[in-house]
Amino acid sequence: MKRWTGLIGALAIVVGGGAQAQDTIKIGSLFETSGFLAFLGNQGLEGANLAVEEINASGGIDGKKIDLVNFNTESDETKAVIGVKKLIERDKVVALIGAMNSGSTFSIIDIVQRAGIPIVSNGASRAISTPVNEKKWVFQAPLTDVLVINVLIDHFKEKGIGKIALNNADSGFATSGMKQWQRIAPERGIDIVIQQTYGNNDPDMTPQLTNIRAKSEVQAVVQWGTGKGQAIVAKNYRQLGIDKPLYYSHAASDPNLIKLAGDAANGIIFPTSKIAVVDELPDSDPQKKVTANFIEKFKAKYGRGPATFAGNGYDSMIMLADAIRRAGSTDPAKIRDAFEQTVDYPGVTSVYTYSAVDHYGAQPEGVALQIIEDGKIRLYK
Amino acid sequence: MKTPLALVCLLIVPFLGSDYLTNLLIVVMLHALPAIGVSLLMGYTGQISLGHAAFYGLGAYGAAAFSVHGGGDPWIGIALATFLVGVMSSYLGWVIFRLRGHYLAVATLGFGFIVNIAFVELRDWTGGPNGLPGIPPLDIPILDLSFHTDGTFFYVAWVAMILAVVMAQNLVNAPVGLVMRGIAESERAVSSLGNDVTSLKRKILVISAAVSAASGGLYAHYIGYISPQPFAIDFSIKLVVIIAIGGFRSIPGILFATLFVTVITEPLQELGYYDVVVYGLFLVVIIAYMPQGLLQGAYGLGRRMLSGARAPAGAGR
Amino acid sequence: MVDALQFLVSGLVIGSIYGLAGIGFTGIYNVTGVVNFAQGDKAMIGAMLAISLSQMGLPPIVAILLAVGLTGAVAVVIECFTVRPVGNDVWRGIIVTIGVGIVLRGIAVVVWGTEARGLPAFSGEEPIHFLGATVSPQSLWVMGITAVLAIGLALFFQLTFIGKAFRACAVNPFASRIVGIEIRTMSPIAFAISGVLGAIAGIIIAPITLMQYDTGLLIGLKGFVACIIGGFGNPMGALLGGLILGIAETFSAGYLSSGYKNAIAFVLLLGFLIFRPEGLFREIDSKLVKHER
Repeated sequence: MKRWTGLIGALAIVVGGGAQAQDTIKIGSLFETSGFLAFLGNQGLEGANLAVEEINASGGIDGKKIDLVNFNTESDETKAVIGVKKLIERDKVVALIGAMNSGSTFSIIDIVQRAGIPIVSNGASRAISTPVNEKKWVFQAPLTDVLVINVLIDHFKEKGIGKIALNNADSGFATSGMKQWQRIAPERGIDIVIQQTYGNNDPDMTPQLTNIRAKSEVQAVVQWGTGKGQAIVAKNYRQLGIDKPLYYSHAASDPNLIKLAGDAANGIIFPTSKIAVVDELPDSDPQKKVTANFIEKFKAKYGRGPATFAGNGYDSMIMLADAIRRAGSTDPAKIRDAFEQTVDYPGVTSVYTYSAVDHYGAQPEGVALQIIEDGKIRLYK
Repeated sequence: MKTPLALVCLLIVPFLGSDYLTNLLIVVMLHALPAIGVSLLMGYTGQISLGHAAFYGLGAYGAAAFSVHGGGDPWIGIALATFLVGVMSSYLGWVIFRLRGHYLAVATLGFGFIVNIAFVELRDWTGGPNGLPGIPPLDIPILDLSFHTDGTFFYVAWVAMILAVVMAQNLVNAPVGLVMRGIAESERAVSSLGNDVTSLKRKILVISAAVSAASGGLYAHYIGYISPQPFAIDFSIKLVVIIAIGGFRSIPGILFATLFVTVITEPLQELGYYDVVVYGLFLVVIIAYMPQGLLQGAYGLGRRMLSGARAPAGAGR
Repeated sequence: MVDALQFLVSGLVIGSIYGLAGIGFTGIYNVTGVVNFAQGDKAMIGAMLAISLSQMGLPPIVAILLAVGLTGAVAVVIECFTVRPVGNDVWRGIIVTIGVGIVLRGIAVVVWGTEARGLPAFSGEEPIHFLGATVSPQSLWVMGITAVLAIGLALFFQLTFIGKAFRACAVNPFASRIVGIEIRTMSPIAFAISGVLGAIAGIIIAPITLMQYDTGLLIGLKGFVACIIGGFGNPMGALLGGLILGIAETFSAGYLSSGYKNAIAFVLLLGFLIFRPEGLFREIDSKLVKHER
């Protein structure tokens, strides 16, 4: 009998708690603060927490404060499913902010669709929110790979670059990027001469880069990955003495890349949101004010500069709050409708316009081509 | 005798109206299957495995591929995947049971890694790291039953768990159960009595792998989406941890440990970044200081503390 | 041809990293028969400590020595509170060290966050050219220190009194107690040595591989595979196993699909386990016998 008393006790801990007074607006987030994508999830959560602090400091929404409840999804789908059910049922959240891991969102789409709770996902794979008619409740906030790839290809066309090499990690983010490159590049007349994959945790990428070096007809090298892997690629690239221009994905907008790669990072060109180059933006740029404000507050709160992913978390939260304000209600259905009507909203990551046929929101004018020079990120001119 | 009663009592859970609780228990019951599988192999027969996530994953991917790519019936897919994993594990057993101790541990670990890398790399079949969406839910059209919701799928998972528990109990209580325990104690002694040790080990591995694969197949059709992550080495380790907490050789203990490991991480979430540290410390303490598992260990500890408190009264001893 | 030479050179560098990680396993194994699954995490802790200490303004060499010493101390604490209570139970030894690894990674997340960190290379980043292949100066440090440590440790086990006492414990704990060698005194020493070796490994590879809370896990696993290939418990075997593994990986990444590169390590692992479980070199004192129960 003792055994089952313990069991029931444990269950009581889990099921206990429950509804609270409705003087706050509860929003759930699913950021992974441990597991293999923790370095992204932590930044996202930091950004979202900053947004909540800012909204609450200015009086909340119609006098109600926002209460952000995070469930650590551990970069794991089973956990994401448990977490989303807990947030919806026990915390009674009115809207959700999604994990950085695309898989964590894929596994819960069905649940949020049935529960009728809007979610702003931070996964970068465009399949998360398409086809829109089947994903009525699902929105995305980050720059998607399709968007930045097209910006890069525009640039290649301008420079007369027609033959490229692609080097990508084996992560979800990078594999999705690779698939989009292989689809879009031929359509737009760019030839991927050679494609190589490396492991996300590999200590050395010289074999892949040596193969790329051997293809003399390549005019530019495109590198797709996240985290420390892309810093090691930069180092190996310089070590092997490859002199072709090196292009990175939007994930290169990470202050840590320059710290890790040092001089090897110089010369890397990448298309991304304008966080790092806010000082160089003309005052007419709609994102300048919001981004400068975000960076200042982020530095004050966390003692270091933000990466793109922190901006994603911040934008998701700010836009959700804006939608709740416009809806004039905490009814999830009304929040969803209001979110879908977001037009030309200047966020940190991008300018967002959502519609009944577009749930990924980010617009190309939010993307700027940037280059690392003397250890600093500058606008590419 | 209380365990069967408690398992029957579980049936009211979907009526409590909490999807969260129902879902949590579904996960627990689905994880209980591979945990029982590992217990049979490791707890009873004494053969360590750090690769059971691979069987679980192969069951999930096999079943999912059958219905997504082949358009086949999910039930047949699960059965087929389970069967194939069983056959494969039989060959695997032939290879790895030449090894003992941590050589066996490492071999199973390596097997787990290779299978997970295959999930990532065989993109056409598995969707690669981005996973395989659109796995249809289970149903029984003739009876007009659909297991799309938590409340209904709960019973599928429950039946699967009961079958596994009954099978495992019968196995370990049968004469062969005695031989299994004998192998764990001394292989030489058992084989000197005329038992074919390697063959028995292989049979137990097949049962253990098949149970895990069946659970994986159910998992795939429950969540509707799979990616390589839940089938990585972490899950194999989690299973071994469950066995250790459950006290290695006790089916009720394993069920309790599965529940415990799944449930304990929920209140730990409140601790923020410290959750992993506390979870790890917890494991270390249980494994290092409670060789009989958490239940027996806590019971023994409590008794020692009680008797310690009474000691002054009985000082004359 | 230049490409093949580059693959070979890169393979030697990566192989040295794996070998270095593998050497750390041998100390403990040779005393207690425990395979320490947290070995890679000790390398991570050592590197992170060195990075933090040097960022606090300590001179690099002081920071490194302090980090190495601290990691050794941590290893002794681990021995006292987790490995000793388990005794010579193989599985609980494995599981408890896995648990220790989880704790160490959790602590690293709390203290250092989840972002990667680097350490400046010891002697600059200017690549060295050799017949068309290039290496970074730090790789030469890795190869050199790995070779020195492997040879040094092998001599230690064969020639010194403590080294011989270590092996005596592993071969027959009971008999060695009779002659006055207690596992209880030898085991903490072995853990201290492996902690020190782990920290040195982490620190000298950090400029190349960079470090984050979970880097130790994979490096440790590869080091482990290196041990199996070379013969467990033998430092020279670990070194050679590492080199074989590294070269196999770079050549398969270079000539086959690079995606399957990680599978190569584990295919090699299974191959050796099945066809030559004692490794290229035998275990110093063939201990396959010991675990037969």
